[in-house]
Amino acid sequence: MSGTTLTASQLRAERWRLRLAGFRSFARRFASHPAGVVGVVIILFFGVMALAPELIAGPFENATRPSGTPLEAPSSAHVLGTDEQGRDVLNLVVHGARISLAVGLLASAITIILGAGIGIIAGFFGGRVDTILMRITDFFLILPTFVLALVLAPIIIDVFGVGTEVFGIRMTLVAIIVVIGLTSWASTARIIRAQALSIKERAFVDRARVIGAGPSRIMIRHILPNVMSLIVANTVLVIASSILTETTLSFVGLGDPQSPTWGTTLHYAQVTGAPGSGAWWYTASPGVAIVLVVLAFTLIGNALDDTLNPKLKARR
Amino acid sequence: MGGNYLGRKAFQALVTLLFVLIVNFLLFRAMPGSAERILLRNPHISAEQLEAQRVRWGLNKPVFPDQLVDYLAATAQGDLGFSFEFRGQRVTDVILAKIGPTILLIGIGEVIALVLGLALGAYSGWRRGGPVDYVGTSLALVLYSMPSFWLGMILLIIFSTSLGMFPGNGMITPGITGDPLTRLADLMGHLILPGVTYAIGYVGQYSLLMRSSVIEVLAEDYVLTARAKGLTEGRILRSHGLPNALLPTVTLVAINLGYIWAGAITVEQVFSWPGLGTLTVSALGSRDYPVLQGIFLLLSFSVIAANFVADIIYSRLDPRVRS
Amino acid sequence: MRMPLRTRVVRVAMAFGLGLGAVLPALRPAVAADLIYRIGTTQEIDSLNPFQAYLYSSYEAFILNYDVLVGFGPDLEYAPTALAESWDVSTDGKTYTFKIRSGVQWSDGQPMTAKDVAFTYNYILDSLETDNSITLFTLTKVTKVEAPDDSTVVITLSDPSSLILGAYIPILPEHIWKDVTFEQANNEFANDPPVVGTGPFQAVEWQKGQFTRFVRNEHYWGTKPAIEEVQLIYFANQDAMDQALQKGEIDAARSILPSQFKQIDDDPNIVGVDGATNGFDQLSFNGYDGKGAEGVGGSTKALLDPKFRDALGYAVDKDLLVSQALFGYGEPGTTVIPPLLSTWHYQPPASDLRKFDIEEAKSRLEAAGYKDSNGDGNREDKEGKEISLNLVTPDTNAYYAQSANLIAEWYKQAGIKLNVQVIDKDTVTEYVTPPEADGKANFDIELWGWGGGPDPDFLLSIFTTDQIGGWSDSFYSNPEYDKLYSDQQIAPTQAERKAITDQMQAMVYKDAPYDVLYYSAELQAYRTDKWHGYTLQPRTGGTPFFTFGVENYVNLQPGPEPTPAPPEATTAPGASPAASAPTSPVETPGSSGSNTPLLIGGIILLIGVIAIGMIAMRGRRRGPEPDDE
Repeated sequence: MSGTTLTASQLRAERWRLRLAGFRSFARRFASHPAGVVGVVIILFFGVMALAPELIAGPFENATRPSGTPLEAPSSAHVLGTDEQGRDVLNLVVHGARISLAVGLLASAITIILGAGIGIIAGFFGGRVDTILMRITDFFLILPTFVLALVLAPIIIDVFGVGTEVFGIRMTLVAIIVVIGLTSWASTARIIRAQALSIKERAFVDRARVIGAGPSRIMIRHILPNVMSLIVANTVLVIASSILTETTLSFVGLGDPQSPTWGTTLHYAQVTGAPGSGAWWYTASPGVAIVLVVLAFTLIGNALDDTLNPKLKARR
Repeated sequence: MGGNYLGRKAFQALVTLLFVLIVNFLLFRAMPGSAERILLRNPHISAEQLEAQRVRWGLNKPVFPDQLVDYLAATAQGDLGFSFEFRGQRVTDVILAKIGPTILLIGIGEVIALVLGLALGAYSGWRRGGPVDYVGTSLALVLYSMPSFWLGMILLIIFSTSLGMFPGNGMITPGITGDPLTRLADLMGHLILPGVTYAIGYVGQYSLLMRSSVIEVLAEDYVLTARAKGLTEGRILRSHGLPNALLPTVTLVAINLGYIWAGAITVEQVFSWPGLGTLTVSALGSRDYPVLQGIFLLLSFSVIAANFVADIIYSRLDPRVRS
Repeated sequence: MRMPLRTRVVRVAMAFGLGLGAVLPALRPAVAADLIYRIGTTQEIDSLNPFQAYLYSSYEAFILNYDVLVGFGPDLEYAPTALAESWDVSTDGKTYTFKIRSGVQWSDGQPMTAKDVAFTYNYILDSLETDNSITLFTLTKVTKVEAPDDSTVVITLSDPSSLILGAYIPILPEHIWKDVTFEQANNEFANDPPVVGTGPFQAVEWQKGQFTRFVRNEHYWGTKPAIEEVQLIYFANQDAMDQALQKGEIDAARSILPSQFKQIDDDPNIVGVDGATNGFDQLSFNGYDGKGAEGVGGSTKALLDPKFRDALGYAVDKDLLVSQALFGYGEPGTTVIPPLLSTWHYQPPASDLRKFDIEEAKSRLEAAGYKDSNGDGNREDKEGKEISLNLVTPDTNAYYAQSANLIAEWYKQAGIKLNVQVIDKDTVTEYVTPPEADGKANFDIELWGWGGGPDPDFLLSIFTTDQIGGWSDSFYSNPEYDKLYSDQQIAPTQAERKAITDQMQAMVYKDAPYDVLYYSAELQAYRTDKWHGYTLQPRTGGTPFFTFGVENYVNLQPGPEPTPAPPEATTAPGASPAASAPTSPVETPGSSGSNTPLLIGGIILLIGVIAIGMIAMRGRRRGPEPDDE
């Protein structure tokens, strides 16, 4: 091609400028979706809650020194009432944010890495590899998530032992994270594979192959960047569903009894009879938090989808 | 052409089913807690008794391939074995006893969800931007973000504990006697809260999907043509819009129905509904492998079958797929 | 513009639904005034076959279906209220002769004789010779059981022991059970309804997962009960059961949620019973010395050190556990024979009791050699490994998990790391099984509970070396203790026996294989508007149901407690005497938490949700429509 030749460093600077401009236009387009903006605001709010819970609600109240009497209705002293041990529910919910969000994010990481990875590999290689991988994916899609989770959680804990910790996270919590990841990757794999398949046919991939680029190089350098926008949009929705799944699993009692995730708090509300006692504040509070966070991620995810993939409408 | 497509799909379905069966078998055995100990229930036993028990239940043979082959062969003949927890009862009987309540719950729930969801979605899509659309869609989004069992707990607190309008547990009033009409009324009364809880979880999904389908369809060329020809909006909607918009929704419904058993677990827990979900949880607790395998088999089979049916419907209704 | 058909259909459907919803509650039947007594339980019976049942609800089924040989009186003393009218002991204490009640019939009309008693006991004894031993019931030291005639049973013992009187074994009909092999008895023989027994009610129907029905035995030898049918109704959760009780759908319930007990007791038509439990809940420390075998035993040798366990005993605030996890319904724990068995419970002197004191726990741990050498807040054991204890507890009671979390917090303050795992009870059993019974005993602490019989022998046996591989979950092995155990079984007088059992309890307290947390109350409740005449067993601190006899069932009479005629009408017409006025079962809405804030809160929430949605929706209007591109 003719034109001015640039030095390597000028080339790099140009690339960064383009990226910045691209990001700015993206931000503008995203901001034209009020739904997405609302979602971001909500997430920021909960993000603060997760990073600095003490600022909002003070130190975590532990059960050995509860600040109130059991099952008090909301009052000026306890805005959201107290639980069956007399702990302030607001305190519980605020401190639960960090773990609930962390579990959701970590589980999503597993889901995305597995799902996108398998999707790209299957889409790129096609043929035998694709068939086998898709059969496996189908299998995971078919297995009822919930029952699979009920089965896998005790197995994981048993295999690794309860006392072990991964990056300072208790095994019981790690088990839930892994389980959610393992049971959710399949639909992501499907979506990514479809996109990878279409990209594979494009000219630049053929050219790369002709030059002699190896499969992994092609996948990482060429296919991955082009599915990235799809992955990003999908990730946010996966986070939303991971949080919902964690809530369900903890509610049934599979969660870590020592971590006050919102799902575990709902579990305790249930087994200590909050619904029958009419202690609606105990049940409602964690639930509202969950709804807000999941809704926020869903709104962001939809807005991202519209922004990044305007022509792509996943049709069954 | 169509036959080939279906044939291929059917074959895939069978292969998946077989794969599921094998993993099914292995998965439960990997769980900690051995069946023979639970079978005996008595910690105070000798090693000889434990061994005798293993032999009796066929647990002493190597898992690969003996137990697996036995299991596959028996399943193919429709023999799902005997339950460990409910001694002497066939797995098929145990499961059949609990299927009824779940089908009832889910049946009513799906019907409510479909009627409300489709109607709401269609109207929202048709009158896009109108008040029904606003409220409906935002409500749908929120409901979609809600854990369904939580909604159940809230409904229980409001309508059962506080207002006392409906019972909050079980399927029937325990030990009820009386004429069939009274009993039916009692059953319906117990069904309302869990049914509505279940339905609300899906109304959002169906309505959102229906809405976007309707919007898409209304922008299609043939609709423009119909409008140009002078047909009224209502007419267009009824004869072209809705049937085509129904397609993805129907597909979704078929797929959902496949998953329904599992979806009901938490709702059944909240309302103490004596269905398959409750059975699953208790069977997991007592390591009742035969029952667990039976349930899993049923679930997988229904999902595979539902997907297959969805494929058929899709190929029938959407001419684009068949080519 | 005509509304699309669908919308009209929807509107009609909604109207219909709402209308139905309004009308249905009125259609709901008031629970019939009948002679059926309904009891709610959260634990279903596991088998009608006595040799296969371990759960307390099954034991209630047995006392309804069958009789034992020697009954229990109002204070759990041995009484001639069952099949034995009287009994004699030989001078050497090794031969017991029972005179069996005459004229007793089985529920199918066949006559019951001493031969059935001998058959039942011999059935158990004979099974011990085979591979299919029946081990659920123990006939301690019994060598021979004979029925020389239809009304006499002679039992010969190897050593003098009064334990045979407390043998809680249902007497079974020979004509039914003689054809059941031991293998069948232990496995597939379900003893299906209708059950044949001598008890006041016979099981006639069992809907698994729902209820079991017992119909009055018209051939019953004792006082004919006024109740015609007893139903044990199974609830999946305590909350649901409590609601059913308050609505009058059931007449009594066991295991009321502690958080709802007061509300239920306050109901004018319900009496709550805070009964002392015959058992305790504890922390079992894994004392299994795996001697280095891979994966066997606890995670640290510290658990084998009595000083370690003793120190940890100071780190638990039992008073707070009782007030918080149990809502005050219970007593802090000390020794392993619960105070309910007042004859046998040993209370250590105050100087020996461990009080809650974290500093004391810390200094004892230091003194015993468990220090925090690297300053990370967690102590290491003598092998230099960080102590990280893993606690398993079953999910059967919410207060187990709550207690575990509290204990984890206290242990942390003392410098010991504790991880809690809540799992199903069968897996817990699996974890605590030692190699002697083919397990691995890999847990560190188990939080669970025991229930005993009227005699302390069973609870004391848990700590014997013999029970390792059996009931022992602490694997405590102390030859001195074992000797005392056999001694108390043959002690000639109660006073001498008590001296020995006191010693044993003190020994267990000191060595601390268990840290007994509390004696949780058994919370039952019964309605007083349809039945009266409730009898507790034992009279003080006992409960009406799930006891050791059928006295209560036989005594209950229909109708509310009859009130004595008022002297004159001094009260105004509006004010009626509270508890004794016959009231029909009204559906009382939950009393705690009034409706108004709930409704207001709900409306605000709904508005807020719609507002968010509407903001979200506005975007769709302005943004580029996907279809418009």
